[in-house]
Amino acid sequence: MFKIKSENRCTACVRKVSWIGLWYSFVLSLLKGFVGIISGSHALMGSALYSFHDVVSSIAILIGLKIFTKPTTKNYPYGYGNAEYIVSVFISIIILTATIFLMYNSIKLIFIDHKDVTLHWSVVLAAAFSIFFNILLYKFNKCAFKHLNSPAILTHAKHLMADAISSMAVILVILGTSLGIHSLDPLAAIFETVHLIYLSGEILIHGCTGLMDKAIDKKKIVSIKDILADVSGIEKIKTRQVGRNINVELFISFPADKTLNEIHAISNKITETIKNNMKYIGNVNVIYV
Amino acid sequence: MEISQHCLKCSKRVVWILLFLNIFLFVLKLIFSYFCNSRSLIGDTLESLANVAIDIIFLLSLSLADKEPNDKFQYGYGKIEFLTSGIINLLLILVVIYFMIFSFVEMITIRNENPSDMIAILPELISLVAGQFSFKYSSCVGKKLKSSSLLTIALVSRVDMICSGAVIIAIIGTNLGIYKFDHIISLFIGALIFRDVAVDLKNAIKELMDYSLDTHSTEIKNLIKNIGDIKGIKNIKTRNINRKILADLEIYIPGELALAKGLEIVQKIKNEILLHKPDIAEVSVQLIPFEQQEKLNYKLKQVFAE
Repeated sequence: MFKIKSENRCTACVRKVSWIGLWYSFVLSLLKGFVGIISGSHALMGSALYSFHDVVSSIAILIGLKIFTKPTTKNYPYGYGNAEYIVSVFISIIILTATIFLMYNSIKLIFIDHKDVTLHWSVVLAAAFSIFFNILLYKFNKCAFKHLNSPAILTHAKHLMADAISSMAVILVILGTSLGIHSLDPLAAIFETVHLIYLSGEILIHGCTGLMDKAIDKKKIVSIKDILADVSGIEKIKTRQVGRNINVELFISFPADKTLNEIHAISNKITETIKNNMKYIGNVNVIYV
Repeated sequence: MEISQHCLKCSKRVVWILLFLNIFLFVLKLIFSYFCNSRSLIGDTLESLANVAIDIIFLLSLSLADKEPNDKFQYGYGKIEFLTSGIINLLLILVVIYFMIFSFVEMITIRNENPSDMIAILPELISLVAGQFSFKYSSCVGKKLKSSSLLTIALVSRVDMICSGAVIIAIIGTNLGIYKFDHIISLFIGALIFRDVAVDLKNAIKELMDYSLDTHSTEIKNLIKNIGDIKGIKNIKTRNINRKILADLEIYIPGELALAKGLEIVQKIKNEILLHKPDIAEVSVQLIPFEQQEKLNYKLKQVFAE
């Protein structure tokens, strides 16, 4: 459906898909929330929470796309790449807070209120609608992640799949309650909240480690060393992930009698080689030791 | 200049003292709220419990911040202080928003309730005094050590004081027959807290985005411009990692100079900066051949004129 020719086209595509996803998730969260409240289904309310997450993460992607593509400035000379991690951390905290709330209410329903929930067929329709569109949007976002390497987009894709799974759980709940197993609804809600807490925790840790200048994984460092196999005198390689880009610092010892012109030509070649052979490289600094 | 071990121990000691103080306040308010039938006091009790959790989180982050760099975090763990401040401030904002919505809804929906016993003011008065002590202590140490964690703890103490003041006013007001007074005060207090927390959150976000202060760049330029053989400065970047500033410089020197001479210039630059700017912990210098300047169409005069 979308012909991807360049990164700008990819960014425009992601922006379009994020807007569609935002409005769709907003409508779906209202629909599921409304049907959940009317029918008394905690499982569907939990599923509405998944859709609410998607609304928040779509907003986050749109903000991230606007911010991280900005050029470096005097006050932000390292760029705006970390905006994505900040957005991921904040989303996961908001989601965790709302999820803990729902979990508390579901547990209360089972152990304190002892209410039996009788569910309506409209719940099935809402859930089926949710499954179809979430899987469709999940595929779009996975494609976007492959092309743009954005952590926020990957987060959003995972949320969409989790939303689809939660809607499948709601359909199972309907089947169960029609067979007389009424406690299945709050149990499903508790399961959903545990899963949401796990998902949000994963995203929170990913965002936090990114903001703390985590180094890239060992495989990529080995790739850099392989690319520079012909360069002698590399004493240290320091890396950090800044949003979707990698900043690299190479500490290289050169012969002391070489002129700066000669060494600078070599280090330019080193920088060019790394950028040509690896994706998503941001700054490469060659420090002479 | 490295911060002394004595000062670093002091920063942890502050948080330990505040932790025990908040545990004491939580237990005190819990006992009084059980006997006094005060909704405001119950809310403030939960707020004290939250302060205990916040102090534990900050203690953990302060311990982690001082860890040495390793393969996973090659620039160290310093940024955890900004991260912790940011997360705590975000949680505070969420709580304040919830609290304000809840107060507003209660104000328009519930009928007048029986007022709380006046004795409920006692733990709040103690909390007010304790909050003032916590605020002064942590903000003083926080400013000296330039620790964003301690400054956020100071803010949390101030929020606690404001809440205690609000509860006192609410209890007195309801006993005088002004039944919605505590809700109105709660909304006003919520707005004040929101404003302060939002500012602190914004500062934490700036540091996490590697914000670079202009003043550092200007001071560094003035320090090094007279060092021999420096023909110009292409770029100066600084970023803050846990009370330490890292500086990255790109310097023009004559291209025909040997590397050995270039490294001498680098050492002079580092010595000059580390001697006169004690808040800078590390300097990295990239050397660029001066002849490249013409190819880049770079105007040297503009650099020194800025």
